[in-house]
Amino acid sequence: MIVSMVGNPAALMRVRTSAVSGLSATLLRGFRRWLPPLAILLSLISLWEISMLIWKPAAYLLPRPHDVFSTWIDNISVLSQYGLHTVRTAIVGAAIGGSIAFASGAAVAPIPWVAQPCLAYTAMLQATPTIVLTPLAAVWYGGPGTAARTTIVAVAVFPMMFMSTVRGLSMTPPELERLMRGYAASRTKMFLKIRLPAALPSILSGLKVVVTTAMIVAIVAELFGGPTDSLGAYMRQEAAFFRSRDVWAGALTAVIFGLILYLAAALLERLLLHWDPSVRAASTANN
Amino acid sequence: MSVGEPRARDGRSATITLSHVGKTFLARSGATIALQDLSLEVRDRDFLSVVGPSGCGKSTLLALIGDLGGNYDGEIKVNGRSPRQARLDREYGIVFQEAALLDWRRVGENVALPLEVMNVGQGTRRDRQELVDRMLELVGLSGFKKHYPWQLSGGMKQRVAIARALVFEPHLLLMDEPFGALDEITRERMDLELLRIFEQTRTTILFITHSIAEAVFLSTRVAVMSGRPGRIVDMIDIDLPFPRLAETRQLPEYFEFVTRVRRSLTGA
Repeated sequence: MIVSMVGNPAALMRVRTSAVSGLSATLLRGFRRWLPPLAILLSLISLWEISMLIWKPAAYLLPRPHDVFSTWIDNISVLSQYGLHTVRTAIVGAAIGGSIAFASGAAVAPIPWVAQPCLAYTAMLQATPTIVLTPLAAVWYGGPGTAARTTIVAVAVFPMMFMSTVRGLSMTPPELERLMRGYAASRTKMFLKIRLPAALPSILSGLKVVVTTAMIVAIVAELFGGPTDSLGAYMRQEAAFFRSRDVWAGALTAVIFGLILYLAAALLERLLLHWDPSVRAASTANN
Repeated sequence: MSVGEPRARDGRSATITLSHVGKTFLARSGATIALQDLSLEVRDRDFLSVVGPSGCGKSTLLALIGDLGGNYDGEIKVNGRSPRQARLDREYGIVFQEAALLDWRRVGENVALPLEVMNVGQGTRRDRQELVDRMLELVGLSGFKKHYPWQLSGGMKQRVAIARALVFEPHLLLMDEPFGALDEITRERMDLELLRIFEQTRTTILFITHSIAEAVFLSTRVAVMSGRPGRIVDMIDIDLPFPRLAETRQLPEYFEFVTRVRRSLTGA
């Protein structure tokens, strides 16, 4: 409903676009692309703001959006500093877990009778809330430190990356395999020139999930004992004092950093997979 | 390019010999005899087409020659070697019905693939680039070196596949219904291109097709195959003059050959 109402002015604009050219046409197109999602977001926030005015709950239960926003602006420098700390844990953990997952996935993928059970076990690991490892990791490392949190992130992203690697490496088009066999190609060349590029779509779509998971797990690990200059610990501490506005401002920071990570992964995908029909379709639909 | 021992190029020595070749597929439902007691000789500089109905085993035949089809009975020799040895020695280029291009590589990089895999044109990038450029010119795609496969039409993709098959300069080209997925008009244009390439490169070609007209137009000889079990039932020399052009398709002799092949096929 909302979408179609917002869509109408866009349709009107389309009629006018033909008469306009060059830069203004590009601007209009960008406007048309961003207008509907922006309008939906603003309506939801307004709805929240208005309901607050009607029901007036206590501020510590649910703050008003504009209060959250102004708190966020006031604390932007310290929040982004804490956020960067969390992002660092997320990225290092994802890099370690992701690399190990890729290497082991690539190692087992050519042997189906090993790869299949491994896939089943990682699917089980995926279903396990890895966060239960937090106290264990603290034991391993003699306390809840950076190493412990990084390890938890690495374990949490492992299944996703492992599965997308194995799945991707099993998607080699048979006609390309036959082609390379005809050239009497070595296993190494087969991997580097055919299997790996053919696996990239799966691996990169896995990476998008990996970076967002890493961010979430890093924050949750910080909730269970992170340093005071991290987003999770900050939010826990503010919650303890019923400073809901600050908790929400922390959450907003987490959302923004999570989005940045996701967009970076999506950009990488678009750059590396410009040849992939599905990526190409998505990017032309957006432009 | 010299691969292995010097080839006998004196006139018309055999390039591929099949003697009493049989192939049986085993399935749970029982055995299917795909090929039985099949003998065939492709001579140097032949353009030999194998024509037959769908499912007669002509693609199986080509797969066996290219060592892509598993075990068989009888004997196959490719340039005097077993199919496996010939494959390892990279004695031939193959083109399939699907172009099988690497979507992530530009046209030029696709053509260069065999050179990279085989370490041909030893090292120097310029040597490889020269070979690639020459091949793209041969198939009429000089202006498309930087294009990606998705930017090409079906016919253009198949040209890239042909350039790729020829880039390491094999003396033998195996083609399994290469134009089968193209429309009639593109197909006839590709036939002309292939004839030009055949005359220009003096490559021996083994061509699989189910089109009688295409087989007659292209070939120096046509092998007619019958199905279940697959056997060669007739061998017809096509004495049409070279160069063959679009007008060749209007010659009365051309129609006579087409009729002859058709009669053989229908067993009349």
